Amino acid sequence: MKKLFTGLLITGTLGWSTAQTNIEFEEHTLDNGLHVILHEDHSTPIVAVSVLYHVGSKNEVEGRTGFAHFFEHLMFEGSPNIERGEYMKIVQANGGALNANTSFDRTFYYEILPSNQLELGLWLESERMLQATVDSTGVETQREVVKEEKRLRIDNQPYGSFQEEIFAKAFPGSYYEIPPIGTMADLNAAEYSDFEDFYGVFYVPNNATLSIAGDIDPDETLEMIQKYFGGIPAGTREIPRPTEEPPALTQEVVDTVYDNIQLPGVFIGYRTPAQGTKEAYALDMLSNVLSDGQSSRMYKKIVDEEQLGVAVAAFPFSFEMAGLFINYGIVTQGVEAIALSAAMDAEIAKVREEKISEDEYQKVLNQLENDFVSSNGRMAGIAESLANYHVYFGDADLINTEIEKYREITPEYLQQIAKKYLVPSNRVVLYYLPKSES
Amino acid sequence: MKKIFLTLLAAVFAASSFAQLDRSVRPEAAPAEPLDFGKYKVYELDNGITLVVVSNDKLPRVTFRMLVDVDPILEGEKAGYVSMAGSLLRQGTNNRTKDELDEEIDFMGASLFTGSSLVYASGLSKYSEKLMALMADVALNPSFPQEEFDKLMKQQKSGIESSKDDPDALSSRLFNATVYGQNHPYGELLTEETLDNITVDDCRNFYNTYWAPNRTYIAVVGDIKARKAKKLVKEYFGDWERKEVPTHKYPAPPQPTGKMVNVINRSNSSQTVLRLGNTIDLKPGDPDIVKLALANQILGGGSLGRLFQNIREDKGYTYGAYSSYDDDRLIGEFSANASVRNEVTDSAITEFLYEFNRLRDEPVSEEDLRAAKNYIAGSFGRSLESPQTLASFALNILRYNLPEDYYENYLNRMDALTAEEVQAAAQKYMKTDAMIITAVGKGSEIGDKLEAFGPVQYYNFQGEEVEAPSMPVPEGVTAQSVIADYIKAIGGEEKLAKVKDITMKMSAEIAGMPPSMEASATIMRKRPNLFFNELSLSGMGVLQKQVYNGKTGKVSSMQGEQTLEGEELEQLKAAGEFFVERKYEELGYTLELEGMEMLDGEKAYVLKVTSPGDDVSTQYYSAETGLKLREASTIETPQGEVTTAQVYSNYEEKEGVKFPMQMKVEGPQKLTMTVQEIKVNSGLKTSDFK
Repeated sequence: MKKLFTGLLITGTLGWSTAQTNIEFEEHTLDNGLHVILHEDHSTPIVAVSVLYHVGSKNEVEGRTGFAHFFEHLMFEGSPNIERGEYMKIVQANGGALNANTSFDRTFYYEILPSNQLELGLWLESERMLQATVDSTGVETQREVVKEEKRLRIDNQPYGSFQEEIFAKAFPGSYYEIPPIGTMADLNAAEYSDFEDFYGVFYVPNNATLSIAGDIDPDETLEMIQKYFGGIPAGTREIPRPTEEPPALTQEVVDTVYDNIQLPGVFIGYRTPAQGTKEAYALDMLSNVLSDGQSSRMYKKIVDEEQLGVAVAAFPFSFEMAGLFINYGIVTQGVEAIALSAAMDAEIAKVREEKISEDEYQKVLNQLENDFVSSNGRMAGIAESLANYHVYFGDADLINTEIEKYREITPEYLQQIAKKYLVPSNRVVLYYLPKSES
Repeated sequence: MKKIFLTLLAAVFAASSFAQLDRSVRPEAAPAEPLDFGKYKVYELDNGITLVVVSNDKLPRVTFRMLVDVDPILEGEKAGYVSMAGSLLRQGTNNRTKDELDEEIDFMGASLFTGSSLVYASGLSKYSEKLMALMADVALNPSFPQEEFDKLMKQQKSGIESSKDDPDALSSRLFNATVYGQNHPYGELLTEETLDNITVDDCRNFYNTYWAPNRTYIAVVGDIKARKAKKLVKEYFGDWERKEVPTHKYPAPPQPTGKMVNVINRSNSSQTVLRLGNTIDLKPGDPDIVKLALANQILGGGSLGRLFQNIREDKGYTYGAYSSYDDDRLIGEFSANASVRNEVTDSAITEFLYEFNRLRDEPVSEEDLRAAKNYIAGSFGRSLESPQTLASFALNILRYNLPEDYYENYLNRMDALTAEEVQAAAQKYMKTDAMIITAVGKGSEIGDKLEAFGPVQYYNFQGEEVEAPSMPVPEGVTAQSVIADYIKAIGGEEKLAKVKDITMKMSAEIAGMPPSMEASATIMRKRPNLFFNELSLSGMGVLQKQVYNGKTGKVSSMQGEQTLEGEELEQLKAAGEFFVERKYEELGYTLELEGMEMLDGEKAYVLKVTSPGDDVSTQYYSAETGLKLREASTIETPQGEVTTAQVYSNYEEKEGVKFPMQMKVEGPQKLTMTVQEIKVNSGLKTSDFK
């Protein structure tokens, strides 16, 4: 049996050391272009079977926003061998869990099954890739479900519209303008022929990564993969991908949104470079400085000491072609939103004007190391990370080495990046105010 | 080291095997792998601490969980102090201030939080000792700083305030208060009043009374050897001294004699939050647990459940409908819930009851039973992926005196169950004859239809019984009589006619506003409809201003100035109209008496008033005094509908006319304005309106 993890164990609290896990994996590419990643771990008799299609909302054509996500729903409708509505039942009645999600850049499906049901998972995913049922009944059923999902998760959630609002203003006219859920109008407009096209272009083995982690024998698994996926024909149509970066903002954009909320909020988005760039890693670190933990600058000052906000956070959204560094706060009852945003801006100004201290720098590296180690706690997470690293960066081994990218960044560089990107002319500011009181 | 194979497979292999594949055949399961539970070790320290260690070096991290076995406490008029005590543990010790704790925890990239009977800490295993030291410090030397208590109190009150409009929070309060009763630890409610009764000493006393090593369990999980864990716990907790700890017993809550419907009215709801349930006598380790687990899974355990399939998939009343149960040493609970559209509230209850009864009356099919068993077994297996699960099992075995192999045999016991046993569990624990149905929603729309299910009782936020929101209007009362009574109440036609102008200077208060900010407002009116309204904030100048000078109207705010035209100008002119109620008829307003409701404990007539320009407002007039209590209107904005309301109170007389001395504005800007100075007929000029 292969030894899967080599933990470098350090006891005591003195000295700098590196906690590391090593995730072993193997990669294959089938003739039809399907990329396969396998990770073997026998600790628990379960297996995560996942397929990542490199298609997201940024690949949608005009007038069809929300399409990639809508399509994800349809992919549970069945196939000639799986009756309508049976896909989920088959998985759950066999002791599995399943789900899927769609981002701007990719669509991801997974099942976590008892490991003796691996073959069932491969059959299900290969049916989906080869011959998913896309018919008008499914389209109409799922259209309503998706609209209900939008109502529940976005329209009816306090502050739920902030993504829609902030992306529209941060990426006007670009493929990141509208979040993956899309608009009601476009969801209503989608036609049956659109679906056939989308399936034919994007749901092909040469646009997919099959990533499997858990209690498997890699050789046997590979044979099974050949059996179920090997004969699926490669796609023949060109896979369109945007190559131009979204245009930069030219000046600060400020707006007010009225929502069903009790406490006013402030949502700020700074335009930033794409994921995987040195700039993006630096911005991750800056978000830690600002709001990770109770000693972080914004939490300490705004929530704890001055009690201007009940919550404040900075988190970087990064995508394949660009990023948006979000900084939001919810006021403490009675505080004006503008007072809160001034306090948030003061902290942003500080990281622009002063280099962070050596202690703070070390703290951030420690936090990132802890997150990095913890992210490999579950098979489903490992399968997803391996697929993401492969698809976005062509290097699945980043699952082991990405932490080094952060270590290469210096406090000087952090300040430089803050000065360049965290500035008013590069941002959108949204004030959220309550529509009414009950 | 890792090995990466990059392989291109031979095409011949692919083509041949694919051709022979019959895709219509669903693959059979391979032989199942047995679940490996792993091992744990248990130690007892001299002072009574029980230590559980699960060593697992898969990832270089550790988790410490400290649990103090405290009986539930009836807090009475100080409801909330126990949970505040728990939060305060993390806010300072005799050795470290809160700032120092924050710094030390974050520096390791670790996390540490506390509750009334627990401390949880996790981080990288290289920091094991430091983490244990911090956990011991918050657990053994809390300093309960007054300053942190005051901050926490402010946060608690903010939380109470926002929960008043949160339908899910209301639902949980109503359910607990009426299922367990407010004299039970699980049913008592935290309110502003009970918070005001709490002192930092109450928190300290709770800690001093109940936290003791002889009631403490510590679970250490992760990349650490058992010997090392034991050494650390001994070193940091070994000197903690035993003591006697009081225990508490409570009588079981009284059972209702039939179905009862309890409602909180939330007049702006578009959905009703429904929850149905009852208490159950089901203690940890009871052989019935596994039976009820299956019954609950089939009924409402996810998207395969009958509730989901019926109420969402078939009827489309909701996005999700589920059920759950809890076993508990004191008293357990069964409940089911969904958020449904107003108009289908009663139909949804009917379907819930139908599904409860179906499970009670008919044995489930073998197929349903098999699917539910597989589903539970699957999630049980997945849960073992985390070493925390084993630690939780160990803690339960120790705390509840369960057999050593309780969890290892759990799935075997479940697998042996029959449809009849599942049915028996449904009959015993889903008490359709003595069930509490709670609904948080728009009383005026859902109220009548709920009576079909049992007696309907309304409650307020504090859990007090209140009258139903709509009441029959006494005979003879009309919209016109309500307005006439109002005119009379504020002074009568003759006195009102003498008012030429009004100036009001008000202080504007916002609850919890930083002391550095002071807000004030000035309102001026002059016949026929000149109007001036300005709100300013100290240090920031004018926040917003509306002026109509008889010819033009403008609105200015932080976002700039705007000259009003058309419909908006008409609205501003109407706002300036003197005692406009007198002239409703003359100006062509339509009035409609919608009913009588309770408004903040006062009976009020509800009038729908439509202006000639089709602007609608809802006005509330006191049935007792005739005075106007509230006026709400909804306008369309680019972001959707916005409702604002004014609430009037503390009427006082000036020059024979009654004016409200306090006005609360509810809406995008929430303010309480108190009149500081009021002048009538001071001779305002048109030029003052600019």
